[in-house]
Amino acid sequence: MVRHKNRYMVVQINETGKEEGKLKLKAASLHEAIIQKVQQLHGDFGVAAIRAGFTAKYFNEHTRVAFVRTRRGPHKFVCSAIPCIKSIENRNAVVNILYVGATIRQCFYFLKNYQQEKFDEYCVKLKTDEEKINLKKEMLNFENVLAIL
Amino acid sequence: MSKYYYLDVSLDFAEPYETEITGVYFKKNIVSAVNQLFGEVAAAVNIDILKYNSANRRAVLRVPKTHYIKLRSSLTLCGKFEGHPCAYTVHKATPLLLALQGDSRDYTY
Repeated sequence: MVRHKNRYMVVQINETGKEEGKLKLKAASLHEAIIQKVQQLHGDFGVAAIRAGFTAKYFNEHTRVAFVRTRRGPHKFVCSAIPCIKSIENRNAVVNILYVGATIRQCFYFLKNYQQEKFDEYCVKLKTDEEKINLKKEMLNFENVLAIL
Repeated sequence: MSKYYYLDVSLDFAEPYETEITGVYFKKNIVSAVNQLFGEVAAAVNIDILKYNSANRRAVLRVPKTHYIKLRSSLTLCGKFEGHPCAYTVHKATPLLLALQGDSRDYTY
């Protein structure tokens, strides 16, 4: 048997007009939005191709980052559909692909650095150490995406 | 060899369907079949009807070679025309238009 390969994507969701601050989303919304867009652009064939092994998880409200996993091959459908997404949960939004990796390890590396960078940026606005510790806890919490493995 | 593929296609209904189908509706049905199966990306390519006979609902289609397989599979999987059960029959498919006029399969000995 040949093992199957995956592609992992780190994407950022920006609500139009509100590029800063938190964005609350339901866990399944991004998944639904991507499937809908693939249906529109690549039809039944595209949806059937990406269905197996496809997960999309919202990761962090502060940096509005999400994690997407697809099989290698049909990931092209997903990659081409993601930038075309215009709305999530009836809210206007733009989705940017930040990183595409072949292993979840590489993705975590990228994500860790990215979160750290953003954390430093946000820290400037905070005054007390307590707030900083809380923010760090929230931003560097990887637990909810570990299930993607 | 050739940039295009040509298909000789006819539309058959399960039950008698009297309404006349114009070339525009014929093409619309084909394009929406492609749209359903392969989405807007595939439906955006040029599918042309070179010749259409509304009496027997038979047409000659032209499609870029790269999208021939997509068109043919969409035709196969298309089962409805305006809600009526139907099927497309592909009589002949060729990269050479002249072959539709007659090839070795049509010889009588």
